[in-house]
Amino acid sequence: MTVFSEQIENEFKEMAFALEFAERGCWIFAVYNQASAREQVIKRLQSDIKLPVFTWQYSEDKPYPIDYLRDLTEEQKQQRAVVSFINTVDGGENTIKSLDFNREKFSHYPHGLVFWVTEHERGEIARKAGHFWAQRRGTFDFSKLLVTQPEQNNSYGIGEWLNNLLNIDNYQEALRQLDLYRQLLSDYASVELALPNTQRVIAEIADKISYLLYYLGRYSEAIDFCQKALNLYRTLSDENDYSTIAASNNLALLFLRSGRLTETKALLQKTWSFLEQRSDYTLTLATVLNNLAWLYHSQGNYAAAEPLYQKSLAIREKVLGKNHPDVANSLNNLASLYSSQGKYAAAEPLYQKSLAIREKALGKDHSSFATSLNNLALLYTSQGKYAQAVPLYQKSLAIREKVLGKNHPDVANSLNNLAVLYYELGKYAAAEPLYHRSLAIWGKTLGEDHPHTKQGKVNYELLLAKKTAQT
Amino acid sequence: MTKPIKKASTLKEVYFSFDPVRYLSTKEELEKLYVDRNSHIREQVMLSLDSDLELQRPVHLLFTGHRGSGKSTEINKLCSELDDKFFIVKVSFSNRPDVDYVDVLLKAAMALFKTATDVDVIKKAPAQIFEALWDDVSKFIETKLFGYTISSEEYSIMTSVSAKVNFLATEFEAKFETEPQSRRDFKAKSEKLLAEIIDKINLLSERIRTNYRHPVLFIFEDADKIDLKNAKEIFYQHSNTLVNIRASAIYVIDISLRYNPDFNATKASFSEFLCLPNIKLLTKDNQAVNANRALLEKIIECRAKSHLFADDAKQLLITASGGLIRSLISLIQSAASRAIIEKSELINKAQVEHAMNRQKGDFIAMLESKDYPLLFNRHEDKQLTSDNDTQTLLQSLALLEYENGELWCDVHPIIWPEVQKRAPQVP
Repeated sequence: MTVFSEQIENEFKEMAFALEFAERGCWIFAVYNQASAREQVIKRLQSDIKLPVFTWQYSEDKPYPIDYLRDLTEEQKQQRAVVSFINTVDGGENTIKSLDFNREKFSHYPHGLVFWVTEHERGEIARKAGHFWAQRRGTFDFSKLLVTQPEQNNSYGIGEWLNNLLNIDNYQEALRQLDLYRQLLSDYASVELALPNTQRVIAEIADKISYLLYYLGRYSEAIDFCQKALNLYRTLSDENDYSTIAASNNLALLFLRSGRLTETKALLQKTWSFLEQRSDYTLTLATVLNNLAWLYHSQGNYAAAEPLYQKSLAIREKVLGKNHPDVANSLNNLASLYSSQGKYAAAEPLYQKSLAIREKALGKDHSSFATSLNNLALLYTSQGKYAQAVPLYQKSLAIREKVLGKNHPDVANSLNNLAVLYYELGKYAAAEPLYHRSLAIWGKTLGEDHPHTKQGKVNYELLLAKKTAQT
Repeated sequence: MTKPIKKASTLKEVYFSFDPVRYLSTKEELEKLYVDRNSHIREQVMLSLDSDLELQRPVHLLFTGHRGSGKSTEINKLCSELDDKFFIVKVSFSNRPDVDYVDVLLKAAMALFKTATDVDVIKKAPAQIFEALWDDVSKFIETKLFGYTISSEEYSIMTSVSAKVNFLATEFEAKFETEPQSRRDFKAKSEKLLAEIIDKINLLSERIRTNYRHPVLFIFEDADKIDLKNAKEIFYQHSNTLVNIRASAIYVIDISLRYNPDFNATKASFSEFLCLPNIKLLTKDNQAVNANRALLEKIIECRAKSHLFADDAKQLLITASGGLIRSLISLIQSAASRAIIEKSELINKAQVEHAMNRQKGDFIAMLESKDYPLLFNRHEDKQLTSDNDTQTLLQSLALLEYENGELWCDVHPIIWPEVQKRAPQVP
């Protein structure tokens, strides 16, 4: 059973009470900001209340929750139940409006209903579906629930190959190359007599700088260069040129890393629909699919993410062979998806396989190897195997500090995860300095408004509350 | 059988009896739980309706009030009082994106047909007098609205014409609501037959007046739930069609319809426009209105035993409600659930504060940063304006409207501390 902080625990109890005594047409809102936190609460609901709990998830082909309600009513005629709605608002404006229009039907439904919403979605519903909103029996806030997320591997360019091509395996080297390319860029920019090729070279340099900045975790700077490269590629050739596609995938990835999800989705879907009609870009397609899956995954839309990860993995295995680092990426991502859903048994062998491939192909001093260690540790933490997790986190942190530098957002991730683990173990004094460091890095590199930074602050506050309670 | 209403004597009963989504509807509820708020609104309605009773001049009334101000309860109370004078026909709308004035008239017609052919009603009627009329109505529905012969076996063996009408109206409504294609067909046909539909309504209303000695009164009880865009179309563009019905009608409309230049024309078409004011706990210049606090206290006391509330908790509940009934009820429910979780014997002040925080969270999620300075200013000047921003705030209940001779507004007490905190920082 998941144990919540006192505040969350009370919130949970109140929600469970409301649902257990829900009469006809009773719906409530539950606010979350991390999908895995939401899963924890749903799991607790399943174990705590004496009613069956069903989950409904929005998807394009069944846009109205009310249709699902009808099915359930037929199956569960006599039974009272609780239905959790996930990503209901994901369908956008129309879905929100449809809540209002279908209010009557909802109010005749015999089971208790939970609408899971983010802080932002709660406001949207309140503003745009006022009547539906007015009929709620309460809003319960789980946005401060403490959870860490497994890390996914993105694919930049068409995968890890770029990493090897530029031959970057550490922070110093990345910085050195960054200086080099910056100098080169200003040299080219000052060339007065522009040769036909100059623009393309400039685009390629901007592309490389963008990648280096990405490697260094400086995402907002990277976005500028990536956009520059993309714009140049677009003027030099058409939309469907390979460089344009690669740059637009990279930009999507940078947006994703910066939490700008709407822009990510638009870019990736556009690229996907083009690539699907081509047979000569299969690896690129695998990359785009992987990134799109990652997007859905980070939004908690697991059902949409899984087939995309699977497809991406299948392509890579077929084209690159079973022991390629890109295959390891796909395995890692799929495992992290299972882990987010609490399917630990399915996740562990995939993580182990991914770890083994990486160790062999990339070596132990590699950021991807560190990611594998981190994710395995997280998996053990979720299962309560704390003793196994500690050394893995520590090792992962050491590698990252070495190859990414001490101020990289991924280093902050490691620090945060280790701190959370210490928190769970009751070692509050050990956790505190780690939070300090991770918050400082995130604040500087990702900004104060990034979900990581916000979550880190919540974690830190929880720690302070525990410390105060102790004294 | 529902259980007889008793005052809540445990916190769990408090939780159940203070339900923000339900309004008073049964006779017993209205007798035991209704608290007269001295708004004189029911008296005004009755005075208007006298014109129908005494002079046979039907009136069309627009009735509004804020979300959660107690409109539905007030309307139900009114109906229970008018029941012995009028032939009441309740019309309610399913909310959908394409509701228009044709829906309003069709709904009214079908509701009238159904109510007037209800078995209990028919029993009291001198049947033969209506026979010819029912025959006419059933032919009209079948041949003109449906446009095809009803083949149901149940229908073909019916001998009474009134039962046929009832069946047809029910069948029509079911198809109209659930089958998109039928709905489109019926609407297209009805649009051309509007004059005839209105004629049928008028003719039947006239007969009911003479034969039952009760004039028909339509209650459009949830016209305020129609999507605002559609409601505007219905009441701004088509009010002249609606008032062609020669029977009295009360339309419960969304309060935001009022704030629009177009509304003046609408108002002119209708006999009267009535607005249920919020219960003000303070005057415009911040003097406590003790009589109104007592009124809210009475609402609590009608429903629950007083030992379940600490004194300061009860006072805080009243203050925090801002005089909005639904706020009061939902604060109580929420505080009760907290008290149950904490295993306390009564609702204390901290639990009320917790409930307030919960509602505050909802407001914060809904408000944008530009709203805070605006709210701050409204608190300062209490001025109501018809600009969009102010209207949105009224609709979200962050801003509450009061009146005493003149209209004024103030910030909902739940969100006020947050407004003070944020507003000065935003230029």
